[in-house]
Formats: sequence, C-alpha cells, structure tokens
Amino acid sequence: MTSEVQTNVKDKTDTSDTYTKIVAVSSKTVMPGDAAMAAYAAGYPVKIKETCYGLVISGDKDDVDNVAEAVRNLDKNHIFIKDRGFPVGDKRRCRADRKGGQRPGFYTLSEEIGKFGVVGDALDIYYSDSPRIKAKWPERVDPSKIEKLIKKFDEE
Amino acid sequence: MVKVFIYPTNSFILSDLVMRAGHEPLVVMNQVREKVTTLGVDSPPMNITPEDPKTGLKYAAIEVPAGVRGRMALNGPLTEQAEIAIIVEGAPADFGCSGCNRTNELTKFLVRDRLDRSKILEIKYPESDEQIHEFVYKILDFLNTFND
Repeated sequence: MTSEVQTNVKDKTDTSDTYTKIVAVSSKTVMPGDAAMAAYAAGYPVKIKETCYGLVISGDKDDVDNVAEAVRNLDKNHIFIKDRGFPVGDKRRCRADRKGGQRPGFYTLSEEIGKFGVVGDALDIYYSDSPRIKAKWPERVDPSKIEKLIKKFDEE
Repeated sequence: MVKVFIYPTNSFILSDLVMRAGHEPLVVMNQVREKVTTLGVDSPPMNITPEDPKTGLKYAAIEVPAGVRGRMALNGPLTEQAEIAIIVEGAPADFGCSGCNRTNELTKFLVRDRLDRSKILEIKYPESDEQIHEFVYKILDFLNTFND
C-alpha cells in the first residue's frame, strides 16, 4: 500500500509562474520614488524593487501587468515598460550574491534609458496635433561620384 | 493584435513601442524567463538541457559553432512566431551576450526569408534627437497599419 502526502504548499524554488517587468521612469514630473509609491498603492501581491531608473516588479502575470499599467498611467508617454527574464532578487543576477561587478545587461539598459527623454517627447508629439520633427539621415554615396573620383585620380 | 518580431531582440524602446501600439512583442527575455524560472536539476543554473542544441540544430547546421546553435534555440522560435517584424540596423547596444554577429545575421535572415517585405520595417538606429523623433514616428505608423 502506498501513501501519498498531498500538500498545497508551493515549493519555494519553483518560480515558473513568476512574471517580471522592468519599469523605467524618464519624466519631469514623476520620480522613481513616486512610481514605487504608486506601485505599492495599487495593492497587488507583487514583489517590487526600486532602482535608480525605476522599478522591477515580480509576481503573477495579471498582477504585474496591472501594477505596471498603474505606474505608467502617472505619465503615460514618459514611463516605459519591458519584460525581464530573471525575477527580482534572483541569485544568478543579484550583485550582492555575485560579489559586485556590473549588472549583466547594464550597458544595453543604460544606452536605451539615456534615449527615453527624447522618445517621450516624440510620443508627446505623435499623440498630439503638433507638427512632427523631421531629421536628416546619412545617405549612401552615389557610386557614379566614386567612379568619377577614381577616373580623376587615374588621369592624374 | 499581431506578434511583432523586434531586432535587437532585447530592445527596451522597441518592446515598449510595440506594447503601446497594442501588439505583442516577441522578445528574448520571455524565452530566457522560461529557462530560468522552470525547475530543473539537469543543468543548473541556466537549465540548458540537451534538448536546446537540438532545437538550435533546426535553424543552424552542425558545423555552425555551438554558441550560435545555443542562441538559435532561443531566437529561432521567435522568428517562427513572427507575423510582422521591426529590424533596427547599427544598434550600438548590440554587443555582450546578445552581440554574436553570426546569430544576429542568421536570425535576421530567417525573418526576412519568412515574411513578406511589406511586413518588415527596416530602420537605422537613431544617433541624434531629431532622428529619435522620426524613428518613433515611423515605428508607430508602421505598427498602426496592422491594427484591426
């Protein structure tokens, strides 16, 4: 006779239903601290980590989505959200456990967060009736110009 | 709502713009999440199992370096799910663990090969503020054409 012990206590190491999002704040009116307060005030059972650029939120998918949306509503065009693979405080990423060093993915994050100010302004213009800003992009050199140059050097 | 392949596959700006437009970005972070949050005693800490190189083999030949096949095990399924794509060329952040050029070339090739040209937006990475503005407008205009 076999006896099976059934338990509804979840294994603490099982995080397969954990969903994580990064929220970056690049607003003139909302600080990362304000975003954290709004996230706590949303009242969902999620884990929130405050960072220099915003927040990292971990929890069930719907809860995380709702909290992230509540934070984004503080300043819709200047608060940015993306998914993250590792949960908050994961030992494979946490610098305290890895004994310092750069956060893996820091350079990519730093590069893109540096552009959020202008991206936010662009979104303001896009969703309003303001005239769009035009830009000059580098163009490819016309091959006939290079041909002419080569011929000129040949003649010399 | 359509599934949008973005390149760089971990881009914060692209992922956010796609979500704003009401579509689903296909990002490598979700592939990583499945790996790192699933219980596995086979090969901690990243749970890379013998099945992963086999998945990679579907996209890259056996002679291709193991690193490319390993990365394709994550990137390959994204290319198959893509309904439309946004490919940004010359992103300076395209280095580090996402900077394997052979993998990136192969991933972009698979997307270009599978999708119709009208469903792919290819755009240069913006360097100036004005270019960032135009970059955002072009991407949102492109995404809005696929709204139901």
